[in-house]
Amino acid sequence: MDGIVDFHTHPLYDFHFQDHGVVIDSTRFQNDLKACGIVCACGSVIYSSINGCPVEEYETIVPTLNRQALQCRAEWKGFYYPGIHIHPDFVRMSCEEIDCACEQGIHLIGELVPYMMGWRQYSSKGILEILSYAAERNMVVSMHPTCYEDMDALATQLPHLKIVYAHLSGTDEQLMLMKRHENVCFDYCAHGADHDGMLRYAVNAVGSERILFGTDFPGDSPVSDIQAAMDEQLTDKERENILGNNARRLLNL
Amino acid sequence: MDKKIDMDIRPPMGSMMTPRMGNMTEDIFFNRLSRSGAVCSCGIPYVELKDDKISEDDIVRINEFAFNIEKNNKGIYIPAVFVHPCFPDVSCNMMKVGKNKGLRVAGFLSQNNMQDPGFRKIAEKAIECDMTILLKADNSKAVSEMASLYPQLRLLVLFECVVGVTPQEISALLKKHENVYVCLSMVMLTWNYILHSLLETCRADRFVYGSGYPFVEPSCRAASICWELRDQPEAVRSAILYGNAAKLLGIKEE
Repeated sequence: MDGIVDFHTHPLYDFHFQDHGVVIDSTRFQNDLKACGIVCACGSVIYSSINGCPVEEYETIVPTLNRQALQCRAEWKGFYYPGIHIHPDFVRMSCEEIDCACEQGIHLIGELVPYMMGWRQYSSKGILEILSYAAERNMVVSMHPTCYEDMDALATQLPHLKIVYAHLSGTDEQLMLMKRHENVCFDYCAHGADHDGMLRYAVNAVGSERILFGTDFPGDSPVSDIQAAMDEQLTDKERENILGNNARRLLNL
Repeated sequence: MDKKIDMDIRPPMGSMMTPRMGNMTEDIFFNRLSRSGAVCSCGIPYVELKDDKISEDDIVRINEFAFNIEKNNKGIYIPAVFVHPCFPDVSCNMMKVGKNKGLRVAGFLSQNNMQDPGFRKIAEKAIECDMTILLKADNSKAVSEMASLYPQLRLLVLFECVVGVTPQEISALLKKHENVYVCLSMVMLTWNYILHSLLETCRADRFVYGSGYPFVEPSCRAASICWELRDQPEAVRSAILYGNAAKLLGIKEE
């Protein structure tokens, strides 16, 4: 295997659940993931302080986060593949951010975190306009889940958009989304595989080529989700798909 | 792989349906559990009760089933005696039977029935039988109250909440009460750097490994806990994963 690709991380995230006071700086971030066999971490930069700001402030917050992501990429020398943010209230700014990312060879949006940025729906007018633009530019979009109807509506209206919803736990609704839409993948970060047998169950339902390994690090530890893939009754090919091949294929790594 | 004793398991009574695995038999259960490195486990068999109501017969039935599971899985499974405050007399009888079999753990008691007269009877019986009580709780205040009421009673707390108890509260609880132990099947303790930093302020001899299987994949839970223990000396790792539980269960080191 070529090494594990973590599709879902948040570099620089200052989330310390219950204020345990541990600073997960860039050195610790990289070292902890590398200690678990992860060779590439993908995802968006977020901070606790971006949560619940007045909407107009996201017009500057979003580009700021995206610049920081680019800076991380430059400093971390190939370890980090950035995902950019967009915002449905600022369509023009968002499309410009997509253009900027493409110029830098970046084709990942997200993980998008609407609950932190004051918007709720993936099938809204603004988001559809932005993600339609993204689809034309062969972007992959990683998204925190909303409700089934909303996620289904997005996948239906943009069948050419490569979507990766987060937090697969093997529910019937999630698997139905993947069965209905070839353009939908899921990552199983943050203990999705805590349900015994989840990965085998999901692979039996939808195959192994649309399930991605992710951790949601640093909020969650990386090892639980790795152990799930290593321990589950998967073929070597299925395991390699989940732990890296699928991400590499989607992002052309 | 580190050797472990899993102090929070619910083996099936015969078989049980699980959401992703489907039908889980006793064999499948212990087979998958062993892959987490658990060489021994303790808990009460899982049973779905009609209308969530329990009867005296249920208490006897569940315990007899547990004794059978132990017979089929000698050395791998040690039952916790099933008790219920609604039926203190039969519960105390079962604890007496359990004690004669060498069992050292009973449960579940819950913060919700601390005021029941049956609760007191069972707690006092547990002290008499030198048994540790499995206590389900969702806040540290209730645990502290119980630990104060029964200072001679060992409590192994299964915190059944994702939020609601902070690491600081756990630290304070363990400092205040020598008779309280915390089971690591609590979800929060598997999150990044929570247990890792908690061990800077708490004694390691009060933490006991548990997974919560079959409601959680045991290897994933084991991996999370071992990750949190990665910077601890070998003696601490061994105590938390095995030794502390061995003492509670009366298992003599080889």
